[in-house]
Amino acid sequence: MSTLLTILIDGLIYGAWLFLVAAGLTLIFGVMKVLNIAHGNLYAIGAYVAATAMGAWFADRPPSFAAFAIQLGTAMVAGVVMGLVLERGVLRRLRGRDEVSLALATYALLLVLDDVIQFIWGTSAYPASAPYGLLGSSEINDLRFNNYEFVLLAAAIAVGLLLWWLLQRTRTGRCLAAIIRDPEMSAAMGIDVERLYLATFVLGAVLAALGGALTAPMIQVAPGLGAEVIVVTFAVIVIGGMGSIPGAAVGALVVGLARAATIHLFPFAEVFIVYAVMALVLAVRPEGLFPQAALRKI
Amino acid sequence: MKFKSNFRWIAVASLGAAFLFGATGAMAQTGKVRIAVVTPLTGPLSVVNGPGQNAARMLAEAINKGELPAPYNTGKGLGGKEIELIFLDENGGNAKQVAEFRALVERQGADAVMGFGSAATCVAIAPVAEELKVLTVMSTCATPRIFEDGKYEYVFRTTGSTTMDSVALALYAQARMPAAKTVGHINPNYALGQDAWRDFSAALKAVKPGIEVVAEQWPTPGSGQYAAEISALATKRPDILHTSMAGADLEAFFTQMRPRGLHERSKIYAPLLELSMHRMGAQIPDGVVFTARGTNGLFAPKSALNDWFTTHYQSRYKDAPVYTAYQYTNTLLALKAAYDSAAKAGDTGTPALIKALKGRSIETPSGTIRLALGNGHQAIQDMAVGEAFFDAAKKTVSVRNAMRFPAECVNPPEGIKSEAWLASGMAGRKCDGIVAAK
Repeated sequence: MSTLLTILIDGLIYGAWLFLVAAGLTLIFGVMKVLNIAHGNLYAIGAYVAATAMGAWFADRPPSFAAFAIQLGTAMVAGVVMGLVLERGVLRRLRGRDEVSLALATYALLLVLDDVIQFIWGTSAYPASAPYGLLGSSEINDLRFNNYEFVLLAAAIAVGLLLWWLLQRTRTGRCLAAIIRDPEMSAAMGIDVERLYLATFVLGAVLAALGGALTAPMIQVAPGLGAEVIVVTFAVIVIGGMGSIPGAAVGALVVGLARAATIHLFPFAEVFIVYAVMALVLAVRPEGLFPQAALRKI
Repeated sequence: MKFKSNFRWIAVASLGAAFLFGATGAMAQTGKVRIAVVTPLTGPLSVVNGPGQNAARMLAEAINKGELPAPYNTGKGLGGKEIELIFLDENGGNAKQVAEFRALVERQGADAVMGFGSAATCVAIAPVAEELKVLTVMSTCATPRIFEDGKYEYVFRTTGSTTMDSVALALYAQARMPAAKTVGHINPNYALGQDAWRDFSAALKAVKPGIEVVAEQWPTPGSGQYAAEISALATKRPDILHTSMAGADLEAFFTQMRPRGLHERSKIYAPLLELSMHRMGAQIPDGVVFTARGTNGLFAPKSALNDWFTTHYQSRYKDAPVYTAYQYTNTLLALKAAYDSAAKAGDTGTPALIKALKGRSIETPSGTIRLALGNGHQAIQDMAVGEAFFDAAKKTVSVRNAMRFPAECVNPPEGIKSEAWLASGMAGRKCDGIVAAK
């Protein structure tokens, strides 16, 4: 029983982190039909900007709750700037192309952004641990857990609720739903499709950067950060159904729990458990757990 | 038409001139020793090899200016010739490395090649270097397989293998933790991690036969998220916890486990901590047992050469040199010694350099290294182990409870493979002269 409880806690924490990273990627794909392979770089840029800002702010100051404001602020700024640059500078010019061409374009962006990150921040590792110990720890099941990790869980729930409210309870969300169904008809009905594409991509970029900014205090921000996260993120959105926010949440939870269970019970299988789950889901439901409804045009 | 025809000839002439310039450009470098430094300039390994690259630049400049202290105050350059370093990115897989190595030697005319941060690259490059007959001195990669699985004339290595780390840690555990009964590990699931655990567990079982393995974790390299692994290890509470994680992975693991107190439940043995030590500073859990792949860094013996090296490195790079900085330095000093020796004999061709280098003892900032294994091609040196702690008064990381093991105590005898030696219980090891340093 105590092992099950520990697996549940560890699974929720890992799943929360995965959802934070995957939400933006699946949102962009769902609305724009763009598989943004450079999503990991947006996550990395969010982490680097947050780490740099925190390093500068706390160089001569003790750690404080200002760190959380810095994380949120830098994620917004980094996400908005990168979202505007990439959408207006690249993706808009490729509008209407097939999905493979768009994926190749975002792969090219991945390679370029890798070098840009290295050019700006070099090969050094950047610590950003200021907020990590601020909230203390909690003893559960004879184990000590850092309360910061529960902040990640809270952030993931908040992001999920925000996206649900945005897509289900606002006019913008209804417009996005229409665009998902039929962009041409939506434009004909007076919806500013280009503006909403831009807003969607910027929101996705902000979510990626937020994932990076929130992760930065737990790690050393170093080269290769984006590449490591994008692979498992793709697995999550494939499991959940590409373009589905609830699917990303369920996919992240399934992967988190499966990985936690493996680590506690069969640690040698950790290296492939995520892909084994993906293969199992695809074997039963090739379109993922929560696929977008396929429209039939008459 | 005439314009098009003229344009075609101009284009051909330009291409020809560019080709000639390129070819003669390479040939016009006579008088310089062109040393290619193959090192991870990008990718995850770039963080740990960066200090090596910095040290190589610093040493090359000092050699060219003739500013090295004794015993290298023998004039400018290598055998009187100026060094030119060419840096090449090791990131990108073995096939790419082999192709670029060939291009480097056959087209760009490198006189010697050094560096190599990845064990996989070293294993792939060694036979190619032999085929191309280019002097290749490996500075950092540490798999024992190079000279145990192959015989090479043109390949040298001026650093010890991972076997040294594992044996020294096991002997340290035997001396410092006689009551330890259980061991666990968290090692990255790739060649280095698997080899490190295999060697350490074999060495530990040889010196503490009753020790029981109670926890094993194999995270994917670069995963960065270790909450579940920390929970699993904290539940099992091994007396000794081994990890060969390095760089960003190790720093993330320590950052996440420190507030959760894993180091209070288990004594952590992290042989590659030194690469992150100064960057982490006060964030390092107190008392982590570590090595420096020899007697490098904080374990380096006091000498004029080490004083010169650390002073100049810290002044230039505002950071303490870690063991990769020492390793690249030791390679350049080995080349300096060989070139100077060969120049005195009037021949600095590759066969003469090989003869000068083979079996040599070389004075370095980390003490004496001896090319004593692999038929005179593989270096051995003494090995030190200690506990890291943050000295709040001096605001710097320091070491306590250090022990120093002679080279013949932690390396297999010539002709014996590391794996077999460990399986035999490290038979024939010569451990007279173990000292508790500092």
